[in-house]
Amino acid sequence: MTGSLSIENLSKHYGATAALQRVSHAFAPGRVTAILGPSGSGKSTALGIIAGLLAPDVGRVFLDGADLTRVPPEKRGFGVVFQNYALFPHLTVVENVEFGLRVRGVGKAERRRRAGEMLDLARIPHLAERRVHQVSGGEQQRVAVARALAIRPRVLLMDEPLSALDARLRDDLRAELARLLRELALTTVYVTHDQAEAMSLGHALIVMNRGRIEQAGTAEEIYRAPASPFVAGFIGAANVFPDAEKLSDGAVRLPFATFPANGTSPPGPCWAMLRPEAFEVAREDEPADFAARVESAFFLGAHMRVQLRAGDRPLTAEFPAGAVLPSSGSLRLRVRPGALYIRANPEP
Amino acid sequence: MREGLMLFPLLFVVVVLLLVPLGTLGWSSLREPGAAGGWTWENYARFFASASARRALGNSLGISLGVAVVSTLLCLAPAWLLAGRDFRGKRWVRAILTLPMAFSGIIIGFLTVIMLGRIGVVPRAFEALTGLDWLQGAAYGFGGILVAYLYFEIPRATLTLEAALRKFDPRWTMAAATLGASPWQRARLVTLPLVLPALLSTFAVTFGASLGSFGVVLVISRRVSLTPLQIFDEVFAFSNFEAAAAMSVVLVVLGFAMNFFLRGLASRLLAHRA
Repeated sequence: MTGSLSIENLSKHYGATAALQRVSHAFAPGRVTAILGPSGSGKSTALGIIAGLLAPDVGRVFLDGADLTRVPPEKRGFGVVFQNYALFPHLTVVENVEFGLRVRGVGKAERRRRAGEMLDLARIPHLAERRVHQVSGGEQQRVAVARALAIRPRVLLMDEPLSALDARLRDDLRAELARLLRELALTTVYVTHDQAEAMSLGHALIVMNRGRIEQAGTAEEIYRAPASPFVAGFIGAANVFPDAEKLSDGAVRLPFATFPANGTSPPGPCWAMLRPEAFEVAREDEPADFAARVESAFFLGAHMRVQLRAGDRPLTAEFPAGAVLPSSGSLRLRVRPGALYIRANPEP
Repeated sequence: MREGLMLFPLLFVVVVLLLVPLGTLGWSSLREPGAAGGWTWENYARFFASASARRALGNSLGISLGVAVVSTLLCLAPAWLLAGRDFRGKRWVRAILTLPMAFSGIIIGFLTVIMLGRIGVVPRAFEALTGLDWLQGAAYGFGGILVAYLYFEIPRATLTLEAALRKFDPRWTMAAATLGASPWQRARLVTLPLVLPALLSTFAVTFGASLGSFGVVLVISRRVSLTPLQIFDEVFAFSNFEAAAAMSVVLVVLGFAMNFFLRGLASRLLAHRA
């Protein structure tokens, strides 16, 4: 299968700041890989290097075995959708879409036909003759995608393509983009700081932090078994305890309670995670693992989100909306079997 | 309604400081000299009949065009630099650039005399080095006027162009590159069409300012006659207000014409091209 994109040992510094530190990854051909991370995590730098717009200090970029590191962007044939679209304001929508064909010397009739196909694909054929500033933000996003796809790119790169839009439009376009990307089966790298976007669009996920890949895998793998406290807190909501300890009898001690054996990791300091859905209220006749004070509770439709305090530790818990919560200030809680996740401390 | 009120100061300025004096100017230029005179084209006829007036107008247009062309070309690189990425000392560069614009024309004239006059710094240095007196009194010819104008027009053009270039998004050229455009195609198809309107308006502003500039040439133009100087002479030497008005109208019309022409050109270039 063509479209085998990989990066090897990429590093990039800006002055004394390391934007990217020895990052390697082989992207799944024909699939969407979402790079997720907070701002400054290096995800846009990685994308810029793949696109050829930035030069790495060291490291290489390969496509189908060919080293592209020194190949200028115009010779890579990668489609890029920029964060604010970077549409050409002096051209119409259709002229923007056919730009890549024009600079390749494709004749006018042929490039109009192919640009028309792209506008159909992006569902904006009626906007062809408009000027860029005469179309809405969501429509500009479609123009940018159509323009990037018109060159029949070998790889599609998208840098926060939905972040400039308001929430409702973003949800609509996200679903449509997911459908489109599935149909195209194009190797796609999709950079975002929005985990819902990453999880719904990406077949595979890369979580980046401070210039490094913290974890790569499917959304479910990463949600169930985060590799670091950072990933645990970044993907989904989590109560993370960096100062847990696995005791010699196999039990796990958290700051506010000790829980029975879990997993097979060796004794010693470790970090632990409890997802908000890990808790259940103990019945009167059941033993409880610990008690917590209710600080606030929100009704969120399908469930209740409750802010708790156990000892001096704040906890976030979610219960089914129908759960009977005592109105008093204290709850007796159990942790669902297998819900306590522990992992050895990451190497410093 | 409230928007209307907010426009009032502008309307006031336009009417009182622009339309009224321009109207008076136009009216005067069509009157016969003297209080009892009637309507006449005589002032314009005499202006265009006079060889010295035509030569002065030619000099004015030539110098203004030259200054506009040279300033616009020379300010391109510094304006691009200032509009782009931040660098150390950027604030100082900009402060130094505004300095020549704060001087009146008379002062710039004297600075030019000091540097390029009969015993100016540059001619003396040149003579000491080469034994040639070619540059003696350079201040008073075309060269001196050109240098003096450029001294304050280049900073002005730089700051005008910088303001316009700051709207240029470097991602446009990046996007063009990813779409397959070579550096030359990016310059021709993206950078140039998007920067050209700013260049043209910088050119128009520089041309207009040079055409009407007066203080500098009052000090240094001994050998070169220019229309603003002739207007000054008509008023203060000959008290011929009507002739002065006609000459002023010609300058105003030429300034406006250049402005409209360049604006039209810019919007046509920016408009949809198939």
